Amino acid sequence: MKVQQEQHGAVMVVSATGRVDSSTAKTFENAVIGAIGAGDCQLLLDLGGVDYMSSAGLRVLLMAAKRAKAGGGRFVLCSLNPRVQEVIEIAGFTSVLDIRTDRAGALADW
Amino acid sequence: MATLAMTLQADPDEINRMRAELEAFAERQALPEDALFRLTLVLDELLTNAMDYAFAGIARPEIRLRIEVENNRLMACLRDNGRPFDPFREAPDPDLDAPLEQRRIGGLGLHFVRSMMARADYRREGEWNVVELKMRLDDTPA
Repeated sequence: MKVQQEQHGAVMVVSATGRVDSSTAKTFENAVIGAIGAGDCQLLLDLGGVDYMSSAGLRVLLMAAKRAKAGGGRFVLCSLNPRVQEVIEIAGFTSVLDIRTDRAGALADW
Repeated sequence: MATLAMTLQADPDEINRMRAELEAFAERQALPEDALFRLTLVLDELLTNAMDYAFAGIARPEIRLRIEVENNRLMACLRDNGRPFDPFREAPDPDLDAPLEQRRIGGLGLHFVRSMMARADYRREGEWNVVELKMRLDDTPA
């Protein structure tokens, strides 16, 4: 699992690559929650390179969304692989997460 | 009937070894990719759960996995010699309609097991927790 950060204007883009499971979730959590900070963030999480996510990763997404909402920030996901989309749907998270098709579209609408 | 049997230690690295063996088995048996994904996720969740909760105070933790494939049906049996623990009774289904603030962190792994398998049953057998999973390998929804 690898995580990279880059700034696009006001938006921080975090892109993750690899598998997010119980053995890598801590790395994922540190990067995502670190970027959320106090919640007053403008954060786009690009999951295009993530081909597997277990509940250990979904836990981080939920924590991030809660913090961003509480802190008045914005937390958006984009470029979900079909497997990751499937687990997010089964978890019932599509109604509580802001999910966009791709990075360019997400940034254009920001 | 094709069978995969393995014994695992209570070490999180063993989940990666299980995954590699499962992928090789799936390739030999030409299992559908979607079935492999679901089974990998479900076993990942159950093994993570067992390693987190089952083995406190157990002298020689051991986990055994056996998978059988026959005529488009797959059966997986996961046994551990941890303390008695029924994962399905201890984890109620999450509320999928609740607003963000009320969503619980946790309980989702077992929700995946129930959602992705046609059957998932727990029983205690002597010193062993036994979870039996069944899924279909064709396109019929579970």
